[in-house]
Amino acid sequence: MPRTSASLSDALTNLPLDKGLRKAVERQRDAICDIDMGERDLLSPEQAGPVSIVERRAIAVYVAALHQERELVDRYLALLAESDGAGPALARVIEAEARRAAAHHPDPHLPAPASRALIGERLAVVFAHIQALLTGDRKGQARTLGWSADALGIVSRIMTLVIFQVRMIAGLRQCALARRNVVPLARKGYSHDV
Amino acid sequence: MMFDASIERGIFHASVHARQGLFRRARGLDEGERAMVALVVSREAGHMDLARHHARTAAAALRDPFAIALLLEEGLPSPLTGRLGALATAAGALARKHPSLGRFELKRLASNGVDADELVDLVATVAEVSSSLHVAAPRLDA
Repeated sequence: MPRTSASLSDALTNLPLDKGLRKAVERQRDAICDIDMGERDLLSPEQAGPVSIVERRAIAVYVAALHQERELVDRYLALLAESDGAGPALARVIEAEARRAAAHHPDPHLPAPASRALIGERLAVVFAHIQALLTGDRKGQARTLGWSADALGIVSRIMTLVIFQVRMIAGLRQCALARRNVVPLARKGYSHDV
Repeated sequence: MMFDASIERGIFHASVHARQGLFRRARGLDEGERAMVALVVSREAGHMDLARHHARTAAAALRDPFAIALLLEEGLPSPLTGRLGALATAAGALARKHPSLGRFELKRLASNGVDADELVDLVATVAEVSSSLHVAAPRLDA
């Protein structure tokens, strides 16, 4: 069973990158560490403010699951399961709902009543809001009952964080796979071939 | 938050705005190429205002404003050749819901001088722009 990564640095280290790509990623170590610190600030803040730590981590699970990035889903599920006030059962329900929502995407999917009772009305509202943001549904974006502007700002930042990581991991994985049978990349320079 | 601000500061603006973000890299694509990649990602996602905004930045920074105008007008598949065409095509492939960069795109990048640092930069730029789209609002007065 693959181990769960603890950070973006960790996730990138686990990718099957060749020597050239790995060195290029390592040269961006500072920027990647900044992203890891940003993640800690957002998902494990000392003072949670208008969005609780459980909610922050649940949102991260939901966004990662909507994007079907297993590596990130597992990382955020582990983080959620260890949060005070949450547990494996809540984590499983959220993941299952996100999976269903991903299967229906871009059509909206509302949690089943039984799941909604476990998740709570506040998270159900924000999950619908996230789906609306991702599909550009303006009416749905406006339905944010119980969420202040500050809280929605945090939701948006968590989405940015998670989607960025989804794209980095998936993009580099794709590059690694494509490079397996390709000649080494040329040195920098302009040509007008191809 | 305006998209422009995320470019200036890197994506984790609130906590790391004084640090170096992914958009300020010693190695990698130049400013115009990144703006062109941002144009492709925005356009493919249907954010035309944002695409036009990035097109202005790219056209100002690159030696070939006609190529940028063509890319903005026609989108992908792009008629562009050379390095810009290779980058635009690869950006489009990486911006899909399931990234689909293949051997052909990679060979095309390599034959146009795109090295490993630039490839990582391309992936990071696509990631940064994609992640900002749900909150992006183009600053039209920029």
